[in-house]
Amino acid sequence: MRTRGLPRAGVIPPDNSLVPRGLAIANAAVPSIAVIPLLQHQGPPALCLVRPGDHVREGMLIGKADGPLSANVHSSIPGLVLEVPSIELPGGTRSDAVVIELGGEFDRSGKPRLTRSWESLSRLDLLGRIQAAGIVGLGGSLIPTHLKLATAPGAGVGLCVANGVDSEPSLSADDALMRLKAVEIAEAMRMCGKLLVAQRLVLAIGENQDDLVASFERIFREKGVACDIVVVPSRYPYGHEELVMASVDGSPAAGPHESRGKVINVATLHAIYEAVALDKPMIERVLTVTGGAVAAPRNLKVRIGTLVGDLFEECGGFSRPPAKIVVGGPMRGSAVPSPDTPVTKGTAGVVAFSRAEARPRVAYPCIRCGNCVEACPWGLVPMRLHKLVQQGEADRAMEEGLARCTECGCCAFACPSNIPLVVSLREGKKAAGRGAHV
Amino acid sequence: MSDPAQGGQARLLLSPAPHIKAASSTVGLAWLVVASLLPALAWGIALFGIAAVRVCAVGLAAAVAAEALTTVPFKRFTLGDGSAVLTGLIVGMFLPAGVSLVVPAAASFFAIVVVKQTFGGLGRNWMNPAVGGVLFALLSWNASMARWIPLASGAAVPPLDALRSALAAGRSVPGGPLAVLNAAGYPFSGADASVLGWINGHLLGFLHVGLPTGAFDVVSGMVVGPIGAVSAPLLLAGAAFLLARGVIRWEIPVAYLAVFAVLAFALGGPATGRGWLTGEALFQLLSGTLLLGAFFAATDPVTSPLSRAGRWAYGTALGILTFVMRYFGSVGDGVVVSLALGNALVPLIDIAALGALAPSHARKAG
Amino acid sequence: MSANRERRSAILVLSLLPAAVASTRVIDALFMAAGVVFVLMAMSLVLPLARRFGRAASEPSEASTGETLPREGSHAASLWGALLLSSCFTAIYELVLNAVAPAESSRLGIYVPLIAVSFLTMGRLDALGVSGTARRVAVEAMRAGAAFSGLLVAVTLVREVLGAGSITLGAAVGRAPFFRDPARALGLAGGALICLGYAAGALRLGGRRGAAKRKEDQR
Repeated sequence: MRTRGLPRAGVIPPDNSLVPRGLAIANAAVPSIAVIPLLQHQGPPALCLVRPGDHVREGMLIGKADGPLSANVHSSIPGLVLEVPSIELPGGTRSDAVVIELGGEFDRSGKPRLTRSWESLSRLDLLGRIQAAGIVGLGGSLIPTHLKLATAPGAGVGLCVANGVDSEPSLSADDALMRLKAVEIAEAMRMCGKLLVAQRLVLAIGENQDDLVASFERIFREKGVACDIVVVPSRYPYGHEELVMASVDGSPAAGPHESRGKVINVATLHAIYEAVALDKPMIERVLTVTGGAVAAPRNLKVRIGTLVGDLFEECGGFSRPPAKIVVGGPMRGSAVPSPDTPVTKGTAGVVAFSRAEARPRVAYPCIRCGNCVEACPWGLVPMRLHKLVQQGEADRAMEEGLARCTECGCCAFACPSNIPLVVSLREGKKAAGRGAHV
Repeated sequence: MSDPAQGGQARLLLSPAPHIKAASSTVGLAWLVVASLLPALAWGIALFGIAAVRVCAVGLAAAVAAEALTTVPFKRFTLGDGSAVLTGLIVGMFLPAGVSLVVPAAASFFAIVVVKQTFGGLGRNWMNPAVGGVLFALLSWNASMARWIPLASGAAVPPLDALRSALAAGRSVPGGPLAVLNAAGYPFSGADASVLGWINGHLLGFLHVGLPTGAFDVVSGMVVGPIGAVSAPLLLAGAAFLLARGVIRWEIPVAYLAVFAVLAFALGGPATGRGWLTGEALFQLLSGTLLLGAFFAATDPVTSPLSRAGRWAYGTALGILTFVMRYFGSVGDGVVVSLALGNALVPLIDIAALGALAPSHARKAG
Repeated sequence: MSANRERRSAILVLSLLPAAVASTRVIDALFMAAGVVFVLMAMSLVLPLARRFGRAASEPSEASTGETLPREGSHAASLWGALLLSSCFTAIYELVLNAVAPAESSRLGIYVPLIAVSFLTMGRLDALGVSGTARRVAVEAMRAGAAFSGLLVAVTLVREVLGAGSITLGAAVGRAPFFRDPARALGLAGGALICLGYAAGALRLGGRRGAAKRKEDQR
């Protein structure tokens, strides 16, 4: 177990995780209405297979992957399809969504679990199950996992890293999952090791998760998994793929769009396990409900399609009037205009800020303090890129490194003048004719 | 504004990520610097009396008026960010107490209107406004800028001028500048005599070394000089406060003072007709506007380099320039001139340093 | 502003640089302006004539000397010729100045001969090109000269009043009484550039406002 530091990584946000460490994950109530968007992944939206008036069962395929980087979408509750309207997702994109009203009996929940053996399955079969279950990268990439795990026959990947570091401050869903489902995650790592023909398996955890080392070492020993554990320093953006990779094998991060191995989020691993061993598609995930306005912040296991407003009720409601509701984490999440937004596969957390925490901020002129330059984990000069974009020279900004921006938010976090740098850089990327995804 | 929410009928704020921020804020920064300058200013006023109050008040008022004049007619209200007050204060502190009141007024006015607002306001100036204003004053009212007000003890000759002329004339006097001043008849205070007597007698006596007469005066700030620049301990305290709060970064002042001290020690001797490595570094560090300039003017974020390496280079450049200007220059205040020149170098430093740090893009990904 | 207008104002500002630096008193400015106007006017009258003569002369020379002024180089050749002419006129002015105000002449020193190659002279020639009736050329020269003089005197006036507390017009030296302690920095070269910068800014602002107003009127 080693800790490696990176010289240029990020910022240290205040440690105000409101969820007590080690608190068990609670199961959120099954929603009476589920709104399931057909776009929960990187590529084109899934093709809708149902119509209003159809009856669906729990775990039934309601959207078929349609095109490269697209993924299957399943219904998370049994019931009746009411309508398929077009809704606005957090962040501004629009997508059709299947609205299902709860009814009928459950196929999975409350029934005994059947574990299937998987060691005898071929790699193709394993990938097939993962694809059928509609699993995408739950650490934020939303790339269909079967594409990530596919390798050419004969070729192997050097390194397979399980990323157990929560991607944002105040979120602890991955941490809680690792405590609760360590065995399943270890099993999933074995599966990935087999799929990728990996020479080395590594589990990456954060500095504040040291106590997990012992339990994981024990589980790896029991299961006969040869896996190293690496502790990653806690500087945001800690959970980022490239930075984790750099922490693990020591070489400097080469940029977010290259990879010397595969990094897979533990939530994704858990979903892989459930898909392969339990034949269960992606219909629920663990997320963190937190924020100064929430009475009892905690981690919840939530059905896809649950409305965010219902989640707050599960956590004791609002102790103070919420001034801002953010879907995602406090650094990269999107503010939403109402709590009637559904939880999707990529939702790792929901934050309700109180008025004290979320005051509207006025932007002052740039005072060239250099905070943003020090904060950027990729070595960019956000101040200069921002200026170029504002002056309409997005292409020149691209030449100076805008393409490497992952919109992590470190620069805007550190800016004393409250300049909306991330917005500007995002616009610049669009203007230069290239939409970037992490 | 929101109603007590039960299921969210409140009007929610829609602002872009990130939703949490680091604590520092531009608005607070300038006021913090103002606060950290006040002790040194108070000392200057205590030493030089009502004249000092007048000079500083005029400087401050002129700066505020200039900022108001250039923003209010355009419906922008920027006085709250504290930068005009800071500029006016620093201009006042750079000046001797005896200047005619035209000087702080014109210097502040020039600093705000020409150096800052004409180039685009806060954050867009390429030269530190206070430095520009004081430089303008130095070039325009050369004689007035040397009107030092004597202390109660009768000391009337400013240390640096006395040093130059005395060193030129009395090369035969052994010892450092303080010995030269002593030989020239510069009166040091009674406190100095008693404190030094005690230190030399009790602490250093067995080492057979003695602090020269006047050392205590110089260190504690009982000398003639610019209003805000005489008290080294109070200036250092203010600077320490700012460093602790992270308002200024330590690379520039440390590089500046270190390089200057080394040069003054190694080359200051030959420059004044003595041998190598006999220069007086400590005295030079404590006299004139060096500490004020190094900690409060050179560290202005708008006119200093963006990267750490750049800041080291900038501090070094300033050290070299100040050495040259002080020993060989003819303008009254070497620090101000070298700050102005250094400011002009900053864009070059930025290009050089950031060019090395920013990712090189031979491939233009499309 | 249209490109032509912008170009003309840029030439104007650039040509003012050496003259403004040299003129620390109003009387200096007046003499410099007089010199520039004289040279400009003289050039504008003589140049079209010389050009016509040159064109007429070049046609028969084909047979006599075996070489013609090449068409591409005719512009360059006319520039050399213009330079020669401007030097002549500048020399004339210098001699006259030496006779009329020798103290002033020695004070202005090298800046008077420099009028020959000042941006304005060269710039005007370039702008006028190789075409243009004598009358049009003269009018343009007058306009440029007037603009130059006006700006130069205005900048120098500000410089002298604020920088030396006086207004010097020939032998009569008026002193502005309220400036006991003038800002001598304005008398330095840097001060000249600062004042010139503001003058250029005012010019551009005026140009932009004029253009906007013209657009308004057209609608």
